Amino acid sequence: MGVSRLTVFWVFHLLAMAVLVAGCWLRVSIWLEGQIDGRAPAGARRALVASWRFVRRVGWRRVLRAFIVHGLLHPRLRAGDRRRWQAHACMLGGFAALAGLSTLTGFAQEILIGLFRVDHPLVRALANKDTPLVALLNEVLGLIMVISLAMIAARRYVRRPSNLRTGRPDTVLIVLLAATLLSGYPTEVLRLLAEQVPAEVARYSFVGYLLSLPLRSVRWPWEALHYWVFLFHSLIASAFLASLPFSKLFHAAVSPLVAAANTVAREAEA
Amino acid sequence: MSVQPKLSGYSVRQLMELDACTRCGECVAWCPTFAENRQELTHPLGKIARLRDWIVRH
Repeated sequence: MGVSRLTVFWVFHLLAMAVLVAGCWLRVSIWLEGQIDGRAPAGARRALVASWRFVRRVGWRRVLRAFIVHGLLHPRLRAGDRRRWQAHACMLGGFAALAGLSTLTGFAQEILIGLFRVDHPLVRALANKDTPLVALLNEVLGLIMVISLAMIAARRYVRRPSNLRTGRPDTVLIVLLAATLLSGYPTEVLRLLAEQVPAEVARYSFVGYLLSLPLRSVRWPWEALHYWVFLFHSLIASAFLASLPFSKLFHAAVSPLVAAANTVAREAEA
Repeated sequence: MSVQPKLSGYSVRQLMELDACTRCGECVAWCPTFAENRQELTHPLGKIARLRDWIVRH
């Protein structure tokens, strides 16, 4: 345990973020090979100008409304299959909220406190995983994602609609997501034990706290165990993020844009 | 003789739609060609997968 776990995490996480950005650029560069106004390749500049003109012509409000209603809330999916919509909304919402919270916590911890030595109660509260609101949000959002993943897996493997095909990439994605989400719980249990977080503080991480209760009296090398389980959890989470542009989950970034553009174009034609 | 697709033959939005496809299979219910011949070659998901493969290879 010579190297700090956070050092290993940040090195791997920054590498993963570089892969994520490169993958996104690769996808976008493929789109830019297509036509705009009948001419190809579109190129980044022409695509930006055409998008800007399109938004100016139809109005920001209309585009924003279409993005939120059709891109994020999916009324057609909701009308067609309520349970599928719930699983989808929980997964997308939980992922976005958890990613936002983790980014805020990391920013407060590493940049505001670590780099700029900011000493403000709000920054300290955000950086601390045991702040009641941060702990509760992490726990609830994680739980929402686990439940939605179970619903998605059940639809794929238990009560599969006849048109739905589940290939190896789908299974790999579900296993990777499950490993990322579920390894968060032993990581939290071991952190509470290694840092000997008092019960009145730890109880806000209610799942982790409940799982840690039977182990509180056991004398094991919790710190060393936490080191390795934390690395497993954080490295697999970073690898999952890096794989996004190369997997079908990339649709989470593209579908809202396409749904908004198609809705506005349809409305403009009508 | 196989006809190779060209990226320049598609609009930017059509290429984005390929990445927006979640392979949920909803389109299968609406595809008149597949409804008629039930062949793998005309399966909408198969067509999207083949186009994606082609893009990756080129």
